[in-house]
Amino acid sequence: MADTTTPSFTLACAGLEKSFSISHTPHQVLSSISLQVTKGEFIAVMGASGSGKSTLLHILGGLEPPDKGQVLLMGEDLYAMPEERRTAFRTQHAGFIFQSYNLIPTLTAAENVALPILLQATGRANRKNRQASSAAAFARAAELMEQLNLKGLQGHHPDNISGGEQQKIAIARALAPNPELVIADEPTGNLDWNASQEVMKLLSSLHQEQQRTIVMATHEAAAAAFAQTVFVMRDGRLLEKIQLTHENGADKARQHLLSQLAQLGL
Amino acid sequence: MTRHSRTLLLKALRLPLRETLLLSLLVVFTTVALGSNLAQVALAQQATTHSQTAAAGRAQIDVQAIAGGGLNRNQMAAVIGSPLIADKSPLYEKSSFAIAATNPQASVPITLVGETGGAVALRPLTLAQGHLPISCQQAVISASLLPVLAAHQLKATSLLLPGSSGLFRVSVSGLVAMTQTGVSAPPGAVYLPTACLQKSFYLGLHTLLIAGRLVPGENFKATAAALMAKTGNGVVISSPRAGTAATAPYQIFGLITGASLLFGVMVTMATTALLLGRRRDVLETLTLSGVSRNALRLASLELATRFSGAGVITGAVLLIPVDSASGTPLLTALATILESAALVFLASTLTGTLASLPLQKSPLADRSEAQWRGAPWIGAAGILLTIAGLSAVKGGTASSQLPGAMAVLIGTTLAVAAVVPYLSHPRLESARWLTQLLALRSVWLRPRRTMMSLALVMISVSTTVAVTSLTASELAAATSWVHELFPGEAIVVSPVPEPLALASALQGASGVASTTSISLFTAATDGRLTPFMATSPSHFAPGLAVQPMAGSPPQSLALLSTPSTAVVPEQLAAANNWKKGQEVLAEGPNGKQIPLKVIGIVAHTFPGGAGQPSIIVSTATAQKLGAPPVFSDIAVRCATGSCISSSTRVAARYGWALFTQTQLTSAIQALVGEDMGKLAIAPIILLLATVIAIFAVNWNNAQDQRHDFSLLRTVGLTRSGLASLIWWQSVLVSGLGGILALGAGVLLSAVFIEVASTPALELPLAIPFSVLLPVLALALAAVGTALVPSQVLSRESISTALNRS
Repeated sequence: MADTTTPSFTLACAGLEKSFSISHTPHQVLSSISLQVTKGEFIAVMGASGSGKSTLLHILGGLEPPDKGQVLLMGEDLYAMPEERRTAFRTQHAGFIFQSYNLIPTLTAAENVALPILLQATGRANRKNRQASSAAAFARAAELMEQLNLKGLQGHHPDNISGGEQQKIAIARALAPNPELVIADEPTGNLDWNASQEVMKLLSSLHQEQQRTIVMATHEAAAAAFAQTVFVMRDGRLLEKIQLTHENGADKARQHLLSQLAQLGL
Repeated sequence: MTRHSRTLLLKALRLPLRETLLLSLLVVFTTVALGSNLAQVALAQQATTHSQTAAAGRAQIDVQAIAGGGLNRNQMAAVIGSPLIADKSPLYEKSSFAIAATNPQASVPITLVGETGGAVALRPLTLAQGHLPISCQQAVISASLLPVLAAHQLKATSLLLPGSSGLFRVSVSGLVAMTQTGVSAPPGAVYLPTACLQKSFYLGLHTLLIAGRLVPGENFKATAAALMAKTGNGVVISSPRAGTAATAPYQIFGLITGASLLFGVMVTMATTALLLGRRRDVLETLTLSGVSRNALRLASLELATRFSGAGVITGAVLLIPVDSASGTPLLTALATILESAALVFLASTLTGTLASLPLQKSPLADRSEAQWRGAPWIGAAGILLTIAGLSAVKGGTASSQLPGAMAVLIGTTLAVAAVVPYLSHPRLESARWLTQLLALRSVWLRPRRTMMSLALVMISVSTTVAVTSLTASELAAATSWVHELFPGEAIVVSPVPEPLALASALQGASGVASTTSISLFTAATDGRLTPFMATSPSHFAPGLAVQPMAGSPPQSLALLSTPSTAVVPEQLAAANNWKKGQEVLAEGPNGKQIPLKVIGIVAHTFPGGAGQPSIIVSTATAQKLGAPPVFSDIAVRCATGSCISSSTRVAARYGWALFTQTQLTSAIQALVGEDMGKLAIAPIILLLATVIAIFAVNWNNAQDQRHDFSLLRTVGLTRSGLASLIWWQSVLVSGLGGILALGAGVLLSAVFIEVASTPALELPLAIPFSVLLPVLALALAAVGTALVPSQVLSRESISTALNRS
């Protein structure tokens, strides 16, 4: 078992097991998963549909407890915490991006972005502090949306915004609490080529310019090629770990990844 | 559409078992609520029988068997000749009840329509009281009716007559001796203003009014049913002393049935729409996949039919023991259940059609539910409604104040609901406010779901409120009827062997205004003079009830106060060749004989009608003969409250039972109380259905938002926060629905009662505290049922919810 106690890892897991019951029949989704993600690392998890990518990300992000194993986020055992504390902790340290954007349809774009910050506020603070934190949350949302060229969409509801823009709002929402870790589950799965490239460049810039740690699940080699490390999953197991270098450009990295995948028969 | 494709479509549209069961429960309870009215009607019949028996206070029941209009001569003869009526007296079987009055409300001389050999003659009527104004609630009757009514213990001050909507009560404002000079009024004639005939009566040709007695016992219901079957046109059985309570439940339960049907139809429509709405995405996908609209329409209809059909069948099965326990006839129960099922089926089919049409035309791009643009308009309408309501309350009449108050309530609610979302935005500042705001947004920005939820809550609660109010009104009316029928009277219940002595004793008691001794002896039919008919001389108005045929004054029955005197009918005198002043020998039931002096010959006596053998003697004379009273009692009219205690002492001295008005009311209510309690089945069932409906609303609203909830938890909403959010949503929907429903329910009650009330049956608008019960149940249900989805969904795995969504 890997050493998961080293604090230099932003995220680490060891011995993860997970199964679901489908029509009263147990299905093993994850088996003996162990990995470490250092601070500022960009990793991608690749695999076919049903290989367990999303489940792994949900467990790593504190959304789904494993049957067995341990997950350390910023050195803290995530599933040893009570639910309320785990929720606050993961919201503070991890932001989620989903394939289907998953914006709250009844809130405006700005409110969606500000929501994680507002949810961190407790009801115990006095009115003045609440107003201050509320103002700060919306200021942060405005700042992020401006950075992502979404300024004009602040008052729009998600239903009236294009898919690419919705995903950028989802990224802004994930960044709102300023987390060290960003977990992206098929972030380009619903986007066309141009929008996919735009989103991936945005994630890449977050990694390179802001030193964010990014864990991304994808089945697209073009998207995975933006990562430093690619884990290949099959039938709930980590099949291969592929290191990518971007010193020779994105195309070279993508070609290298494709060749490695071809060798694995993928 | 092939069978295979239809099966696939239905499979695609199928809801999860749990939700299907939940929605089906709504229809089940709706059907039960509908059918339970059968039980209520049966119970009302039992209550009526109890009421009659209790009020009559004796083994027999006074009966006014009244056949409705439109009887032919044969049917009339069937009723008159029916052996089911032990003691009958046709009051009227002529061709018209009508009275011509140019202005019923004006104080003008009344012109009566009389009949003379087919020719109609109009003659001015001179009444003893002078010119008598009568309205639709008043009548003048033939003087010959007075002894008939008295002999049957019927109140001479009011009559129950058959109307188009049941019995119609009129107060007697005068007596008519003659309609033409020298021609007696038809026996038993009742004269009413012509305008009233058009309004409330179908009295016309061949209307029959019979006063008689049915022996109730075990065969009472069968006897009444046989009589009804014989007339083929319905016979209303009513004891005048039991009041018109017999007619009230049927009218009220008719309304309850109507309200329940409306409730059932609305619930079915709402659930069907909800059902199809839950599969909107599937319908859209199928449309885009190339499935024809017609195939979708058929599939939607079949789905709705299966869903509602299963609920109706289940409800019908549940009803069988209910109807069986209440004694509802099987065929009647089956017919009503089928009727209910047909209505529910029709409603679901209609809704299925309507709901599927827009869905079939809807592209995926139309899935967004944009912010409700109508909010400003609703807010403005609410403000205008509030202003109008305030105006009605402030400056309006009493009748407009209640609707005005309701308008204020509803208008304020609408206005507040419309502006709250805008006002609340700056309050996005804390976790608690955040959950409240999120709940408000969810309710506000999902108008279709919210409106459907509100409709379901409003229908459930308002119907429950209205039914509760109607039940309370019925109880209040029952009490007031008893008071009205026994105004200031203390009733001494038989046996009263010495009514005259009691009358005399009570007459001298403190606070007693007057006493009336009523003793009735049937006349022999074999020419013998026993038993006799004895009566108090003061009971009949001099010169009216007994018409001297010949001889010189005095002609009053006051002569009967002379011991050993008698008045005999003309036919009996002629048959025996008796003359006025002649002494005849009378024999009592125990063989005791005394001589009686004939002091008058009368044209009409009772029972048996004019000319039949019967003799009127004084009570004292009857006692000399040792004639046992067939029935005796005494009515005491009190001038002051102390009369009751005085009467009680006298009654105690003679060992007689005496009921005060209050006691009688209590006795009646005690007897019918159990049944009246059963009558509360409707509100209770509706209340249960309301709680189920609210639970279903909360559950389905929460289920609809599982995806949103999982998202909120993903971005940091804790379990307790989610529970708070769901709870607030429930409070918003149920609270708003409850307030609106309370207002709508009160309005509905007022409308129902206004429609149900007739001059003969006035229901008070009773809004008792029990009306608050549905509201309290709503509040408890809103809180209680919100806990279930909040706990279930907050414990659900986020990942699972996201994947499932």
